[in-house]
Amino acid sequence: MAPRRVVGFYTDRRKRVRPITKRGGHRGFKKLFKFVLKKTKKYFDEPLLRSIINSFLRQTPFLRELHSAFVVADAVYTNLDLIKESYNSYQKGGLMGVAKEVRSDALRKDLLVAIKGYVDRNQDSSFSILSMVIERITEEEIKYVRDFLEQAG
Amino acid sequence: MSEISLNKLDEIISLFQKHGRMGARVLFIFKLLKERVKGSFPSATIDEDALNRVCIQKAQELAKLGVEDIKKILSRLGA
Repeated sequence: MAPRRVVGFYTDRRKRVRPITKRGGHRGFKKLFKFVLKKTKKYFDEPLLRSIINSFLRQTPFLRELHSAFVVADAVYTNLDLIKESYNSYQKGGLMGVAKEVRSDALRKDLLVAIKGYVDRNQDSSFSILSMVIERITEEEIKYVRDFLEQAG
Repeated sequence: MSEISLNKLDEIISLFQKHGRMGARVLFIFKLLKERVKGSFPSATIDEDALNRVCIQKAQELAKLGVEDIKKILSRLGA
């Protein structure tokens, strides 16, 4: 360890002349080092999110998923009457006459039967996108999309 | 076994009825984009409002494309 720089002298109680050294040199370095090593959490704002999505759109696996999303969305829309029938039967089938929830596997099965004839290649990808959207989308997200579409006209 | 609220299913059906094929596409693409961004950066702090805004705008742009357009892009990329 390098000696501390002497900035002056003083006399202690025993009348000895002692050096006064500069304080905090090493501590300052440690502080700086700690700051550099501190894990920084990245904040994702709008421009960054835009560039991330644009980069997805240049990747073949994502474009394949996008293609499947188109196919599934169109198939679900085309078979909306069948899906409504399933919905009505769920409503009637619950305890006390009206169910509030439906088991996701039962719904998935009905949806898959409804759209099976419409998705030929990439079936697995289409079905996984269907499950992901139906199971994970929140009521707030549906409302957000609906409000946006209404404003967009 | 997870369960899906019938209310949610009802909301989806009424959105599709009101906004048609385009509404269905926007909803599916919006959710796909959100899931993929969040899935790619699980420990990041993401501004949820900004993510919703960016995803819905991009979903609307993409929904206007046809299935064939996506196929063309894929074949251009050599997939």
